Amino acid sequence: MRIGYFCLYTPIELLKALSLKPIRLIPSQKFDLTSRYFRYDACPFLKNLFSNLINKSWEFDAIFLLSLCDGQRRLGEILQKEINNLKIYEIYFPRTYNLTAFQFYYEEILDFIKLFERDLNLINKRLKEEIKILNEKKRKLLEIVNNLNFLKKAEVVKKFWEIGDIPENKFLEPFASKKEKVLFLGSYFTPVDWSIAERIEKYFTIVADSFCTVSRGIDFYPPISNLKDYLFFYFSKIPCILRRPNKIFYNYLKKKIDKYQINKIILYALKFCDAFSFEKESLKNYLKRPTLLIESDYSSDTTLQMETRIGAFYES
Amino acid sequence: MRVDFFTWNEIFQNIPERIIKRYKYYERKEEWARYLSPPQTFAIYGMRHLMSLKFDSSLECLRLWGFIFNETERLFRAKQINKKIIAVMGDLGGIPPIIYSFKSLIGFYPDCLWWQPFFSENYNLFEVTGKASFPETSCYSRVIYATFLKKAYFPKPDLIIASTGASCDDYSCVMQKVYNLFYKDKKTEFIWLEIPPRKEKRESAIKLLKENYQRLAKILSEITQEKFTIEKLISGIKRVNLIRRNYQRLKELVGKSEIAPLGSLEMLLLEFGNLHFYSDILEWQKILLGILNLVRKRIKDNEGVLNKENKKIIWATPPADPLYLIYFEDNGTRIVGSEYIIHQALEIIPINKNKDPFTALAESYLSASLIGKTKERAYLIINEVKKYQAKGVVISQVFGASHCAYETEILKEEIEEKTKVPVLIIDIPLPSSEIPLQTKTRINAFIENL
Repeated sequence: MRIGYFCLYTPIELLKALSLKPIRLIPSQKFDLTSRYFRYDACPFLKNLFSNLINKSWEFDAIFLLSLCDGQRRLGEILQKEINNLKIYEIYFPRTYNLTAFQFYYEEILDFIKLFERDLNLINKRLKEEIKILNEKKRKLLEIVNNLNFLKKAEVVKKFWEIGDIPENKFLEPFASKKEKVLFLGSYFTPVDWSIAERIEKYFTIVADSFCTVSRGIDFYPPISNLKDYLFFYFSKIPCILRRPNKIFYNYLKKKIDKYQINKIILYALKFCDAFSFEKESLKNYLKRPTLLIESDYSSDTTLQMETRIGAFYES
Repeated sequence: MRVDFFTWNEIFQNIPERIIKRYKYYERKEEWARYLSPPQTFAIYGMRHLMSLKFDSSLECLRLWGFIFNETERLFRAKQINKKIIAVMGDLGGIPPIIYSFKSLIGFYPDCLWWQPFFSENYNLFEVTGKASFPETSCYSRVIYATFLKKAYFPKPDLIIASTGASCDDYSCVMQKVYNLFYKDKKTEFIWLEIPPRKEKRESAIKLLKENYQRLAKILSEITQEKFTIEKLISGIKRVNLIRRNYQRLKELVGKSEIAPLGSLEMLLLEFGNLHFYSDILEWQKILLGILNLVRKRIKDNEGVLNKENKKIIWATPPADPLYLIYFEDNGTRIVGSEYIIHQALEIIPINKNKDPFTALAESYLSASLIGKTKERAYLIINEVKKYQAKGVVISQVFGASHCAYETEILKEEIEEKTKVPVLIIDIPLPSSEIPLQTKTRINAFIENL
């Protein structure tokens, strides 16, 4: 069974161990048609994801949804109303680091597993194999993309999640730039937003990012261990701004800032994405770097204004 | 009788001094514990919006208003008389029964201060959040962060309890920002609790909530240096249940009565009293009982506060601006039922001899308005429509609030399909002394069609 997902916390190795074929949903196109159940102030990513589902941008049989933000938590109900014959698996993922909340999540996953396989020993065995394979692939990918410019990296990582493809190193040109270095982070980053990165790279070099669709997805390697330890790794080690408190995410950024000696930060927030748009001040205060917030709702009207702001940020 | 602000002040002049002196908070005898003040006092302190509203002219309701607007003073006094102050955020109703099991604790929801800019017709708190780069397209609850910065609305809490999870994003972000203010502060402890979603299989959620509550009871016991016992919790729950039961009786009496024995503004305040009893559970119990008796008497005497012909409607999601309630009532409707997203604070906590009280608290919390599917929330509204034979439903919203963006259309569809009554959806704009003309036109058209 082909199963679509988009959240970084999705236990992909487990899905593979269950003989499912996970496909990461990273929309490449922007469609105008959306569901009437989304109000105008709903998340532009979720609206566009829905449009891509309706337009059959991917071929899959089921969707695996986690509940990191309110929009994600409510998406299943909208999909159920709008798309016939789509199997929807909704798993609650905790916002806090409360251990009983982890147990809640673990039990949800156990129930999910039981839908496909009753032999937990077998799953544990397969899971270890899948973790090993994916970790190796991710390490190899990381080595390759480290030398690429940001957009090329985003493209290669996207392909990796979609079709598991790792390109040959010799076909990729290493990247060198003397422009000022920035850290680029923010909401779910898809090809629809890539033009923003192009604009940024007119003035700066994006040497590091924390997008779950680019670097964050390949920066972490679960232990080759049993199901519970594996899930606990996802629960406790992978940073996300939506977790409470979100200190692990900030520490992750701090390491990037120090490692790459970055002086400026560009925060990209999709319109109505509270998780990122509330954080500008905290980023500035915690990381002690000038921070530019740019917002987008995928509309082309804002691009000129955005470029002016990026230019002004460069001059400042 | 419903009166305007100026008449209300005149009425106050006729209240004898001995009655004013009778009402005191925290069961204190001292003069400083008085809370019945002329409404003018609150307007002078900045609550300008009062001048645009209408009020129930009874002494019982005057007492209600005095008590609510006195809360800031009361919280500072609590600190002075060595009570510990617990700020509860996000869960809207689950935790106070535990807090009020301890004698020296006062729990309150800063969340309720989202009404502050509207009652004061003042943008100041929004400006503070603007300076902190909060997005304008987010829920008005963002002003709570500003109230922490201002240090004028409540004393520094001894403990902050922030609940998040199956809840709205906006307030989760606000709590994160408040956490950032306090996490280095050794004098204020900050704890995060997880709100689980309501799913078919309830055991895991009950277990999680129960452990939250047990952990919390332990922390509170350490803070107060007061031994926690199950008996204390049971007696705390019984006290809360008494209030919830009386509120349920009141709501049913008001909603089912031929006449409107009480206005919607007072009912809104009374419903939110179930959250933290405006920081004084014992006095709140008396105020609520006083109003319940007043309503009984009015029904008996066939004495309503609104025109008898007013059409019955249900209100969903609390309006940030109370002026809207008054406008609806002035223009031919009567709000007989509500779903103000605090269903968890209205349900009776099912304690009995065979049940652990923490489990009872957890079970009760699982009835929360926003932790399940939108369809389930729609049923709460549909039940109100059927119970009170309402002719329409109003859903008020906040532009940018996370749950509104995904639930509103589903709510509308479900309600219209199951009840065949019209649904009006309105966005409540930023504080103002007037309702925008375009919104008034929409409201009037809706009322004409009921």
